Amino acid sequence: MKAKKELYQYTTAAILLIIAFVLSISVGRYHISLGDIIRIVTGQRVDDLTKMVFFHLRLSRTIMVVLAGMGLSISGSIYQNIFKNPLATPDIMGVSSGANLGAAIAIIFLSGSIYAISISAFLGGLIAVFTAIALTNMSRDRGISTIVLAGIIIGSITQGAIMLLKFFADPERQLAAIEFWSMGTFAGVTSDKLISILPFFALGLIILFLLRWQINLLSLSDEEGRSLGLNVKRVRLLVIIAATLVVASIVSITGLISFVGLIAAHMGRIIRKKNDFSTAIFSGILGAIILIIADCLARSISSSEIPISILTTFIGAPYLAYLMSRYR
Amino acid sequence: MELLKVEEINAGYGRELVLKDIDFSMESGSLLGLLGLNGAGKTTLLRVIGGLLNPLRGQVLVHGKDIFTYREKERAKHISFMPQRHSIVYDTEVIDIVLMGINPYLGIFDSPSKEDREKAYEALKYVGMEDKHLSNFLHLSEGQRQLVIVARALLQNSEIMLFDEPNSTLDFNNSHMVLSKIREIIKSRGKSGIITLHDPNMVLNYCDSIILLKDGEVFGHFQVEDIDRAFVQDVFSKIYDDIETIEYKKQFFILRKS
Repeated sequence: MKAKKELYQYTTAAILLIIAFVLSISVGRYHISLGDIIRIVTGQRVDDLTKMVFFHLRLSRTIMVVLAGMGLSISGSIYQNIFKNPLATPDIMGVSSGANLGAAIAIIFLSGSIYAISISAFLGGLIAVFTAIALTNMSRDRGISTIVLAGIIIGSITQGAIMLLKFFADPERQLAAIEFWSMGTFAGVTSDKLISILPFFALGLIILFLLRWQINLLSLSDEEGRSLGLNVKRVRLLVIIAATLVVASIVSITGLISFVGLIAAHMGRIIRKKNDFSTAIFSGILGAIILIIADCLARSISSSEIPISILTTFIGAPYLAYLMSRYR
Repeated sequence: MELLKVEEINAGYGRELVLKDIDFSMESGSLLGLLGLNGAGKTTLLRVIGGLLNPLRGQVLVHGKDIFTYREKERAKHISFMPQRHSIVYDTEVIDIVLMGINPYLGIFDSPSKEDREKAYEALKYVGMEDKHLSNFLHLSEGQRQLVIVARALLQNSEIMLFDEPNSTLDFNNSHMVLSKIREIIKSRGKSGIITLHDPNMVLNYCDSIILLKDGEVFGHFQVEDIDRAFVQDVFSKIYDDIETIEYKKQFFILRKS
């Protein structure tokens, strides 16, 4: 009975994901019909323009959207576990603000090319989190509240630095670029970029998968975890690093994407009513679906493309309000 | 060699000294009750023995080896610790909570096997909770939750089992049910258990020996089978003041006089 229900949940989510995937390939300024998609997949002849749009624009973009939705949601779910707080997000350790600062530095001081921005944002995210961890280790109490505090400190410093950079930025080119980056977009995704982040993304995800059972135990209090033989500090550090790798590799290409990690992880818990790694994966599928829908809207609502975070915020904030009214 | 030996433990938080020169040792197959008023140091002592709080001085020896030199997993194979209040915040199936007890026997990248799952089910059966193995832990009553945590400790299968006021949130019936289960486990599986309790009558009823803590020091340490009414009256009145000890069916009960 129970296993049947789980199978049903997964199948439904997987079918929805496939539908959304096909929709995402099809939607955009240049429409690709379902017939064309089937013809390409089955290796039949289609005209060159359709083929070009399919392979160079839509496919890599859609795969990136799926990876981003999954990665952000799985990390979000795991962060909620580690921080024992259903509102924790990957941003809590400063990975997003660090990546934002890295991107801003590349825009102003480096060439500002898309590759420079990606690499700098990736490094910025990693450095921010490692600095937060180093700050935590300076304190005698290395509990959750210290980690959160360290994350807040790093977040504030990077925000301050970003403001400084924005103040001195050339308003026409640089300021606009920084602002756009922080709103996120899948517009510039190419297969080259996708392949370049894949190793980091996969490494992070594999580590998280290997640590899946330990992650369950991290949702307990430190003391209860230790009494069960969990090396809390070491495992928590490993999990934070792996989740950061996943998030940083995504946002380094897409820019900031708000709310997906929070709401998909939350919906996963509500539907599955469990707290294990398969719930995190389920959340990942939900996150991919949500992000595909948001990205399709971003491409088709107006004549110019809308940044993705505007849409995810308009989906995410009402959902939070709904949660607030439920937990009275 | 004793299973557990506690030597001149001094411990506290920050500069505040909570425990002063605690000494005792324990053999298998008995349940030791730690008794004392709030702030006497019961929980602190339990945390030190469980390897969760470093003492300022002294050591806890398990099989003659300092507990703080064990690695987390090794220590957890020797000592389990049942907290006063579990810290589970997310919806989780009961069987998954029990399975956490197998963790000391798993490598860092391992997950519980099918056999582990069967063992967890057996542990639940032992505490009479097997019907609930797929229920949401957070939907259980307090008494049922404590039984699930006891089952988890059972799966952990350590020779020393610590229980920190397992009945603090339980009603009268549930208290007796959980404590008799704990006693049964200690006796039938030859474990050695240490339990902190608030209620002296519970300690007198369920434990084999008692340590009375007062202001962080051992005020009395005795076997329950050796004591008589006059002794109980004398010792316990020094902690609880105005009391009367009565004997009923060869057991002692303490009543408050005024």
